[in-house]
Amino acid sequence: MRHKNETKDMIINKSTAPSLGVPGNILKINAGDMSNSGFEFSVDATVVNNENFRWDTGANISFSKNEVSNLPDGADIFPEYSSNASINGNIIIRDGEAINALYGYEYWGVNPANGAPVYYKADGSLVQVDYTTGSYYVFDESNPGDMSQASSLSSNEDRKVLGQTTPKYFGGWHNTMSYKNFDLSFLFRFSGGNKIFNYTRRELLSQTFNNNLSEITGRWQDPSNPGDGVTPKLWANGDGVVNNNVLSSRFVEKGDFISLDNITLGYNFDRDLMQSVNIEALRVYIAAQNVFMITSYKGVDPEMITSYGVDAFGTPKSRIFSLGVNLKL
Amino acid sequence: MKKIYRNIIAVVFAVAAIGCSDENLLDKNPYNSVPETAAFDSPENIALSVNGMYEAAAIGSYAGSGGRGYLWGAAYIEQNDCRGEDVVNTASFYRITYQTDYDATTANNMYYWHDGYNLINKANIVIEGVTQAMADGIISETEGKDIIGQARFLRGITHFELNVQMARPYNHTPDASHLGIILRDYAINDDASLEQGELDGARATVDQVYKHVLDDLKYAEDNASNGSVVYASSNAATAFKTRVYQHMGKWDEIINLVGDIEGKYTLTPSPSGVFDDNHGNSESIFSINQTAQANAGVNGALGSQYGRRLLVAISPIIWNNAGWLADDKRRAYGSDTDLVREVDGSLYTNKYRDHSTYSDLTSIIRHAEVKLNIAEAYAREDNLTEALSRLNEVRDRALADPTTQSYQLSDFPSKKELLEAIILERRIEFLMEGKRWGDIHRLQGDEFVPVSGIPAKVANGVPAPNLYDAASGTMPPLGESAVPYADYRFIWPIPMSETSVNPNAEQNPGY
Repeated sequence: MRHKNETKDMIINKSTAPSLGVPGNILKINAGDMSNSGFEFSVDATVVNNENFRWDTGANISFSKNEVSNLPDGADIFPEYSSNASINGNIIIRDGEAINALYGYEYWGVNPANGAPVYYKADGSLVQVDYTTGSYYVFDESNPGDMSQASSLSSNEDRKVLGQTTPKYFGGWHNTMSYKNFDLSFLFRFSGGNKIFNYTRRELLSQTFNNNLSEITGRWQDPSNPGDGVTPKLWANGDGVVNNNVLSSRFVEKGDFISLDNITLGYNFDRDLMQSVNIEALRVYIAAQNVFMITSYKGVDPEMITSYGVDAFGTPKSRIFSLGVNLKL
Repeated sequence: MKKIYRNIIAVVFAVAAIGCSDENLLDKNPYNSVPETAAFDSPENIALSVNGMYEAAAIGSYAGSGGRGYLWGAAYIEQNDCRGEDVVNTASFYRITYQTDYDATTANNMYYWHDGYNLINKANIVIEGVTQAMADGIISETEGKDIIGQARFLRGITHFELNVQMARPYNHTPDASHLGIILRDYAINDDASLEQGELDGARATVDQVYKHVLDDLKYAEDNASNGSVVYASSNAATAFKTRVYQHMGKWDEIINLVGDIEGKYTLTPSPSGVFDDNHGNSESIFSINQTAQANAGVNGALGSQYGRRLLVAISPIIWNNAGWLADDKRRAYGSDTDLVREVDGSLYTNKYRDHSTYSDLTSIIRHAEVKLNIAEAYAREDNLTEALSRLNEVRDRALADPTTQSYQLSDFPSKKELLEAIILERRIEFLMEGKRWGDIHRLQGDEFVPVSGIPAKVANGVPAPNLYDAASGTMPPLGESAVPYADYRFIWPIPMSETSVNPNAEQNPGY
């Protein structure tokens, strides 16, 4: 099934510059259009059906494309001013992009000569930061130790859209089987195409003598021990220079996953036997929820998003095992 | 083979596009909300609007929840203290400021900016609303100008204070042409003014900021009335001008103001007089009002942070300073009216005494500061006699035996030593009143009493009791290293919440 949903003149919370003094630094505006279009497919089938064994299955998948257009003057909007550093300024509404896209610097990696993080400027050139001053210098791959040419990394000019926060596809596959007195059902679910700002990961690589993720062992230590090429040199209290408080693609990850959401195995006691003790039906079962997930996402769970495609210390889903009895008198 | 049944059901259908009309559906003046003009349509409503402006100065709004005393209610004192070396941060509340660990997203400096400009806009709305109310005859010219004077005072001192945090000092360039802060001098309350405000979002030069501040203070001086200590007054504007001129190094201008302000107030006989009686003392010139009703819930209030929770201690650096006499009354602790408080051997201020409902007023400027501003101006202009008399007025009331301990002119070989005594006196007299950062900021590279960058500090955490050794001259171990003037961290960044949506706002280099 094809769907297309057009929204005109959305009501958007536009961030206003705090120096304007607007209460809450938010203005509700009617601005821009948004279209959601795509296809949905679903299939249901009975694979096997005989005396002892029955297998019903079904699957669905949706493809979705989200696009914003006709913003006033084509100007970008930063939605929903938030005190939360994970959101503020990192989310953008821009013509031609999906709504609430991630916005920041593109990360190149670590300078193998000195351990400094290297970023792309808008013109494609590379710049590295000097930890002691916070200033940026041109990075030359053929001469990485050179810190002589001053440059800059500007949040106004050098940021770009780093990915959309809404999934491009998602769906599920469910199954129900019964064999003699046993029954089994399970559901797989998948989603992908979206990017996540793993703010939790950034904060757990803090430079303030707090506990860090094991990822920090891959840091640059010296030119002969340059680490994983992603994690820069340590610098006490230097979160601004090491991890950058502006979002960078270093902390943007794919949100793709497949998960086994639930599985249940049951056993129905023989009806005749049960009725002999005045019980109409008796079933015992074991069930599990959130059994496992296959994902390359480095955080706990790519669905643990707190808001706007940002994972900021959300609460993980719990894995639940249950054992039950259905008794009908 | 068993029989296999297969049923495949696939449904494909399309849904037509759904659209709304092209009209803007958002009604910006809904009938169930009060239009802004109503705020100024009667003298009673104007009084409420003015109170709203003072409330914004006292409490502010923090992270979308309740206020924390940004900018003037408490944060002004706490942040300015914690940027300096005369206090020690004991917990995490002010750690980022204390350890110069701030960046463009850290909350302390961010809310200074947010709540500062929120107050400025409220002041601008009052100015425009009252101007219209005067034209409409709702209030008299005199009353209207009094209120506008108060609003301009708050706007002026807030622009000034933001500039002290976010910009290099006045004398950083010979003509103060370096980056200041953004000046906002019209109300932003509708689409047109918002658009204009976005266009006017560039930072002014420091020179422009100071001119603007002085212009506001001049208007307040000429038009505000004198009365309660918790409302901005003509005298408060004159007093504040001495602070502004001090930051500019315009000593002759301060001396010109002596006749206008010095006789208007008197120092309390006791050094704790201002804190014994916040409202009724003879010394306070302008304080931010705090009441049990309005301030009790403010997380950040002085009575909470400096009083009940002991989040900031007096630093052994100033306590051990040999220039602060061991028997000075300002060192006393043990009684409820003493200025210091001892808890488990470490020392804290006792200037803020209501630890349950936080009703201590926030002293913004008091006469002792005016006296020492005048003293410094005279000393700079080589009039050491006049300078010494003001210095002694402030200091003598705290001495155990003024007849033998009072400073004599012969104690000072040159004006440099006298200036050093004045600066030390400021550190002692205004300890934990938020004055230290202003001095550090303006005295960089000073000819006589230079401060070099942000001085090294005692390590973050509750200072051990054995570090305190009054007037011993012992420098305690310093756990927080100094930050040179050239370092980008000397000044605060412009918050990223501003630079990300205001392309005209240039960030301070390094952030």
